Amino acid sequence: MIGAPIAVVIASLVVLLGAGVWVGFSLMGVGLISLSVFRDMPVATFLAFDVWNSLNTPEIVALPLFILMGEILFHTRLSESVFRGLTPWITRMPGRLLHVNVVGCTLFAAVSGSSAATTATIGRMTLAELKARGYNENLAIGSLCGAGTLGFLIPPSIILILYGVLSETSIIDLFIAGVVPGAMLAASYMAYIAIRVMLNPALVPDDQASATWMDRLKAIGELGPILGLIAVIIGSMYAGIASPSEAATIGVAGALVIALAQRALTRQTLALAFMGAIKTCSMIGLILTGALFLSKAMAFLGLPQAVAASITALDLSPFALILLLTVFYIALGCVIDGLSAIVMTLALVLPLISAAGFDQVWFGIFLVIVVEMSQITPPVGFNLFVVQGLTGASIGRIAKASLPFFLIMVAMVIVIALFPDIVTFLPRSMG
Amino acid sequence: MNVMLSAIDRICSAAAAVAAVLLGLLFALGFAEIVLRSGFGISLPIAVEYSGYLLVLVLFLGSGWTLTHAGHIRVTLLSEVVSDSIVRLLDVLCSVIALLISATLTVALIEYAYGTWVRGTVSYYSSETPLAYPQALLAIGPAVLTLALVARILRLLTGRVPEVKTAETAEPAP
Repeated sequence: MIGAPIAVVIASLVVLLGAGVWVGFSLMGVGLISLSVFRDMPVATFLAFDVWNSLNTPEIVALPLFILMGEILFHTRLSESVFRGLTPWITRMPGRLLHVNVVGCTLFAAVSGSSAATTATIGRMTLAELKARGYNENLAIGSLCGAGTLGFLIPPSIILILYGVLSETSIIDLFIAGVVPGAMLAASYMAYIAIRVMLNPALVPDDQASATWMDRLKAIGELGPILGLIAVIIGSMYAGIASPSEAATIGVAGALVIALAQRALTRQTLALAFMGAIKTCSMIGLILTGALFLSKAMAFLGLPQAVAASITALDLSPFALILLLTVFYIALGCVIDGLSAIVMTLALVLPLISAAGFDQVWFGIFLVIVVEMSQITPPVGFNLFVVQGLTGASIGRIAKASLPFFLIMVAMVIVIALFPDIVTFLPRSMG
Repeated sequence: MNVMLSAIDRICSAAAAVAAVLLGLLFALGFAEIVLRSGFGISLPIAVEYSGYLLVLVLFLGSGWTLTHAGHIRVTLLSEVVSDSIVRLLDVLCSVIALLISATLTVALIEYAYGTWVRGTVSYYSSETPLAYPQALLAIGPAVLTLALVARILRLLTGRVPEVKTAETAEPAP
């Protein structure tokens, strides 16, 4: 009877997570409990075997290195350079400097694997500046929250690396697939800002900022470091020269060069960057260990097949299944962070997706967009927390300012569900 | 008590500092491999193997320090709606559960490494590294985390502050 193991897994997961046991320990605990109850096996020995064997994986090497790269860049003046470099290019666009949020986040997302890091790095530069110049604060906050989530979608991406490892999908394919939807989202955000400002010009200050082509050409120099780094990291992976971990190694070297050139490379900033990276690595390491072990435990108990069978029995159309999963992940994302939401559910959800005939690369991108939404939904949304830290505004207000951008993401999910080729054509044509 | 708590804190910080150094080594190893291979056509025979060992240590050695610096993720919804004394009680309960799991993991990893040592298993790479060594090192991370949980429980029970807030980093959360 498969009902009992499912009940035990879900109940113990809800109790442990709900009580506030750290996510990684909760997942590990559920695996230990369910295997001890339902299987006669040396559970702890199996845990040790699993930790050693599944974490000792070359693909995961990219993870700490991309995190380190983001930490080093955080301590440089890259965000100031991006701001100065972008400003002369957007003086003619309706909404002017508001677009710096979107384009800045898009560029930074291409050298950072995390949404929170992207939001924090660009936001600490733009928000104060936009406010001082008299831009509408809600639109400034909302566009930052929305665009900050691109950190997960545009490669490199921590979540896509984890998804690739857990689902045994090519990380390079995932990285290639994230680019077009990421660019489409950024373009939609910019279009929304432009439309809002055209309808109500009072949202932006009435300064007669202008820029000559000379200014613009000079500004490219400011953008040089970040564009160069993007070209090296993404270019080397797309050209098939480098694996994700090699690209991450090159990325760390590039970040160090930029920090050195900007004279931001002191012993103190280096120590801060490394310790910050260790903190994030430890956090992800514990969750990943728990998730990998729980996945194995559930497989031992036959849960993925059972869940897949019962969902198949509902005879949902693929589109209805995706709708159901969207609602499920948005609800889950309201109470738990996106990364945890993905790793703890993947073992059960992937068999469903394969059975319904969805492409695993496509599903990874779908998941990331849905999880990005959870970054800006209250009460638990990490981009909201980051922006609260930057502005001091209430979570409710930030969430409200982000709502239009949330709705744009919902529309994006519908679009990629209707036209999956948007996601899959690039990896297919390059693979 | 204070002596013991600060000793545990120092162990956690030291382990995290080692993790940071190993992260630097992981980068250096990867970088050396890329330079040697593309520049001189030489491949370091140990690069892939040892970056795997470094990886597991980087992911675990800083775990205790991360706990004391509020870096591990947990769901805090419940603790936001109940009174402070219940929050503290709940925190003790969660820490004890985590301690049990962490101790189980630590003991299991030590036994696993011991078993490997007894069997004398070596890696399937040309270096034929006895796997018991990296496996034993891997157990240090969870062991330190277990100590950090003991310190956390003692602090909670004696009315001390269980964790410290750190300076800003690029990644407040994923």
